[in-house]
Amino acid sequence: MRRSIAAALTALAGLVVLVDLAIANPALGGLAAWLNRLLVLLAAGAGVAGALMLVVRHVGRLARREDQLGSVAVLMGLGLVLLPGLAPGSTGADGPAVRWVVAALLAPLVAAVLALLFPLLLVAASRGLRIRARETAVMLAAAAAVLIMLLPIGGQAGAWLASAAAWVRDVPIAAVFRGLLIGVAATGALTAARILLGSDASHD
Amino acid sequence: MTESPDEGGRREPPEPSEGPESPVRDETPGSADAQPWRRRTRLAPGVRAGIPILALLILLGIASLVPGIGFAADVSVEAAGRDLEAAIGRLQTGAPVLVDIDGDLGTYPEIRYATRAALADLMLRGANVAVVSFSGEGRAIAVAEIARLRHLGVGPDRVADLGFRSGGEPALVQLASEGIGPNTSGSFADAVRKDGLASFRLALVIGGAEIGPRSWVEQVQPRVPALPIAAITPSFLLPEVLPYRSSGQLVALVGTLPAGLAYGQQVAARGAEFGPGRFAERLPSGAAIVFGMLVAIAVLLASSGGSLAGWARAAWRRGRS
Repeated sequence: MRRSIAAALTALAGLVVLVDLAIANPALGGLAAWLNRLLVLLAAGAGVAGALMLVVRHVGRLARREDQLGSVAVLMGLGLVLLPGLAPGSTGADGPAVRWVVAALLAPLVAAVLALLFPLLLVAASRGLRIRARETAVMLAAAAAVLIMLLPIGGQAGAWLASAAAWVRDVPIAAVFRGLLIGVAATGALTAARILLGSDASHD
Repeated sequence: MTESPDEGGRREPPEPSEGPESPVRDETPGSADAQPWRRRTRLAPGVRAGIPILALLILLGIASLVPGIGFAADVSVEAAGRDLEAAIGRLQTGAPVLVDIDGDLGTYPEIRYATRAALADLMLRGANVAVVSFSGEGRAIAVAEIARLRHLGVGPDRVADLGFRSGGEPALVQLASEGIGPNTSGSFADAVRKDGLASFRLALVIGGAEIGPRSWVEQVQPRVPALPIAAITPSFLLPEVLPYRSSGQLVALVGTLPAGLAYGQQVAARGAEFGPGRFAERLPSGAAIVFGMLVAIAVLLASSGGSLAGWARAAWRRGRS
């Protein structure tokens, strides 16, 4: 019984959104918009639950005296972002203090971490060579070949490299990428059809 | 230092601190297998962690000293810039434009010049811009870009901040079906609130994060077919978005650094004719980029070339015997 109710609700919600795309009807549009708002709320709920779990986990680690420095950093970071937005008189995510924290703290920190991607990738490559030498070497050679083709140099050699890079991007990479996208879309459509028809195994 | 014949003479400097990942070795005292590498890699963990940072700083220092070079721009590169220039050039003075800034901080430097050129182009053409983001990193970039425009003297009547919208694609669908919502104030926001997204004349999507041009084509175009969509993306997204440009679902696509530079220079060339918001952004250092690419190529070839050459030699010997 529980299974059939969940399956029916899922199928109904899916059908409403699907039919709303095909038919212009204000009532149906309103219902689809309401369902979509529920989805947005669900995503927000998942975010809040994730943050709470993070707090619980790191408070627990502090209590057990495990990696205290890391846990304090995580909790302080959470507090720095949350407090300006939740403080009395704040306008929330668009408040000046939150904007300052995002622009002056979050963005430079994330950018700094990503700036280390280049040396860290090289370290990862050397580790890969130790663990799976043959496969990693082939992958690194392919990466080097792509980088050579992308070198923005002028003259005849530059034109030849640019046309080779365009061919690689437009033929083999595009073929693999489109194959992946079509595969993902077909799997998504199949899963959606199974849910709508009530034959999805996840309800068992 | 060891060489294993089956791996073509590949050098294996093991790291004792790696635990279960490290290959098993004979570490008995006096063992020829263990002693040399153990002496060589005995560095404090803090020092080892600082090596990548130091290497990056040295590379950046050298790159800043390399003299400037120009990027090669072929016909397709200039055409990409002209497409975006034409899409923005078709706008009338005061036309509302929706800009979705959802780049990610790792790849944004590649498209920052083109993004700033496009924002300046919109200002120069007299367009009114509403900025929205669906990712945290995109919001961080948007906040910085809005602050930069404000610093240049662009008022809130020209640039409305629609803020961050959580929820990913459902939030994008919500924006497409219900419009900008009641939270944003100002005369520009009031003007575009009435008719939803259909009141905008162009959507410019700055991609890189989860929500990008593909999401816009898939979720917004079926709901608001009259809204033309242009995109600026890092080059890694090109295989994903090029088909949409070929089919005309994207009216313009700037997806490589040379294309962004060509477009920016087109905007800069026109900049002198306009007042506030003139585009005078410093060009990214082409020499530094080429230098970094050459270092990466050298490291990749040095690390993989020995192994590949060793296997090729071993295979050739096996074939002869």
